[in-house]
Amino acid sequence: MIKPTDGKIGSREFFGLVLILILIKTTGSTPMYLFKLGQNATWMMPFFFLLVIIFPFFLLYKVLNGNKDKHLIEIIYSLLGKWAGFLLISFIFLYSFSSLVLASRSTVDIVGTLFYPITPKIMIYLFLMLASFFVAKRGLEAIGRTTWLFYPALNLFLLFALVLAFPILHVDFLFPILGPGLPSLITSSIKHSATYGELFLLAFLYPFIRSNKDFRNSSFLGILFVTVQFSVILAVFVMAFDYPSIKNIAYPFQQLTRIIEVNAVLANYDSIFLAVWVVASVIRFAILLYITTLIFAYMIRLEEFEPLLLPFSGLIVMLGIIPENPIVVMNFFNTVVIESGWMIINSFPVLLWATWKWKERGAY
Amino acid sequence: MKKSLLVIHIIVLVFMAGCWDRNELDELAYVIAIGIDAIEEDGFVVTYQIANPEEAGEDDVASEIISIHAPDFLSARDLVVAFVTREVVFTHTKVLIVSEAFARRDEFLNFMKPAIRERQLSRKINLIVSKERASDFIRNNKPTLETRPHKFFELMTDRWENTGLVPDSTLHSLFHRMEEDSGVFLATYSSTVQVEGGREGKEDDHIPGEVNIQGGNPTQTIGSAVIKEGKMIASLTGEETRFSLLLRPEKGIEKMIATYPDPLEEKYRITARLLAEEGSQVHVNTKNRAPTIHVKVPVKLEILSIESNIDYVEDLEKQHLLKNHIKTLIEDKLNTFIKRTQEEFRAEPFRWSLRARRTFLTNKQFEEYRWMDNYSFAEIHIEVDIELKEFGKQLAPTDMKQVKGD
Repeated sequence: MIKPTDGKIGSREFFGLVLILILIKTTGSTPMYLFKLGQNATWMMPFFFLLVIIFPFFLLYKVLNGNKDKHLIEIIYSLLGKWAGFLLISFIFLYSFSSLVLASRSTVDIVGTLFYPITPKIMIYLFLMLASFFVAKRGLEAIGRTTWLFYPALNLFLLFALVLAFPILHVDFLFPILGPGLPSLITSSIKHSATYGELFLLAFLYPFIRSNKDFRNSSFLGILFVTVQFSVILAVFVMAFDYPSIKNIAYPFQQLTRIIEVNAVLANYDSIFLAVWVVASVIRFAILLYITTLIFAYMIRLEEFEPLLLPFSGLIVMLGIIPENPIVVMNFFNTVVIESGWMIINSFPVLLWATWKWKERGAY
Repeated sequence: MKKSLLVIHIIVLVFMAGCWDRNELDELAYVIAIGIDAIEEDGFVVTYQIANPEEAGEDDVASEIISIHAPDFLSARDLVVAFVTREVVFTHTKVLIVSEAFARRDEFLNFMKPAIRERQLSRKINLIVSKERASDFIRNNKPTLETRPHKFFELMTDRWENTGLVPDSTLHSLFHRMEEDSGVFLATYSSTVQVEGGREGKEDDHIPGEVNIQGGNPTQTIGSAVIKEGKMIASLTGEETRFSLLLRPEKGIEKMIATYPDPLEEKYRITARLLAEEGSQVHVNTKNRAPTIHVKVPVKLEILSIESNIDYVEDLEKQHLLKNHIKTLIEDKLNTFIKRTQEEFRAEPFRWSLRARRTFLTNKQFEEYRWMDNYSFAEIHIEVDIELKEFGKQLAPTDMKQVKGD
């Protein structure tokens, strides 16, 4: 029986969204920055991220569950009032928007540097955002389905890369086991817990998910999955390149796919990974674009947000092309967005939950 | 409706052919090997071996070799336009050859750095140190069995990994070892010039140029160049290279053939094939300033030939004698070589630092321990664990007295 579509997504689509949004970060500039801090013990950091964000996220889930008929922005407005609510939402919007701009620019840089050195960056950027716009324009249901269709392919290729890389991996490179030492690992993990920030952004899609159970299961299971996969991928990078070399390697994922080979005949096939990775990136930016536009539109209390998708795509290209080179982008992203974003994403659920409980008590 | 969709798709395909970075295969010149020489005044000679993809018959040349004076080996690429009509690309480069004279200079590693920054060069390129000038090496190298130069280098590196006479040296591992700063790096050592008269030695006791060969390709690749802190300091013979690989904790050699003097009749030799099915078991104790290292080398032995008439095969007592004899021989040689690394190189090519790392909790502790400096004072115990596995298709050796009939 074919069910009529209701524009909502189910648990597996949402699960796919959680995984693709965060997992794809391992292939971008995030590992480069994490390796500087976590050294050869960086593979532990995802577990610390999980520990840091799981409690605030649980509170956010409680708040959402307690106000089922509203979406998160309405909840924020009703709990915090007009002004404080606006301030908080604009902070979240800034976080989401800037990470979209910088992450997309970073992707463009990787494609440009490694594969299309002569092609102007602006053209790559335009094509990337155009593709993302088309996916986003189809609506959340389409995004969710694409994600779920594509997710097995992405995983298959990651697994493929892992198996092929196996001969060049050395477990010894993971030692000394604690890397920079436990205290420094924990502090840098807390500071970079916004690496998982997309999970909180996905909470804005709560009303579009079929049931509360779908949301709960997919997000908690998804984040657990992501943590394990994230950690394995980081460990593979260390086992392939070793610390301190890993500190100086730009784009470890792409370089790893260049080193691995099946045999003398199949020696240069990194372009296969390029294709898969670009498609995954398009999906990622489509979701981010969708959520960012949604937050913005609801923030200024517009009913329809889909007409805003195109102007936003254009704006992203215009802003994203400004930074001079990838390092400027990477540093800005990691020092400003990630290192200040962790405070926003970890504190607002606590704030919301506390106000909600307080107001609830006041109501009796 | 369907037709118009098809037309649209075809039009889109035309535009998807790529725009700015489009390249036609026959407009590219693929560099197979890059050679680097330092010359007296400030400057370098860079040699490119460019594959000829259109080679058809025997009369065609398989590659073109160009040497030019350039400040570094990448900037030479544009100068090549003066001689080559195609765009020079490095995406299929197999080897980087540097002359020994250049490798021994301080700026060696600095000059190699562009290699890992350049996007077209892969980190898995092989590094070869040639005894003579790199430009001469590339010109002299005339593989006869392989008509394609890239196939020659490809097959050669595969063969090296099997026999252990030559280390597997890639740019990736060179930079890794230099950045790790805890041991020396072994680079492939090669020569195309035979030393006058060669050198009397056993099968693997050679450095390149010393093997007496007649006919074939003049290229001799055996042994390794020792690179410490960014420059070459010494060379190892094929035998020493094998030992270095044998002692590593990860498997470095698959099988190697070696001869040993007969334990009962000194003038005869016994040929055996050593199989290393797993790496050595290395235990490092770093409690004291001078580390204690216990190494157990498991090898399987396959006897290939016994020159003397002594029956080492069916006589279990003699079998045991042979086993112990070879064991002490290998252990003695290993100990002599280890002494050399401790006294001459003051660093190890065995990658034991990997095991030493396990004894520390943080990177800082390991760095402060200064493994490379402490290695020269290390107390090392070697134990070769031999398993006599096979004797080939023959039991006792043929008795020559019977053959001659006296």
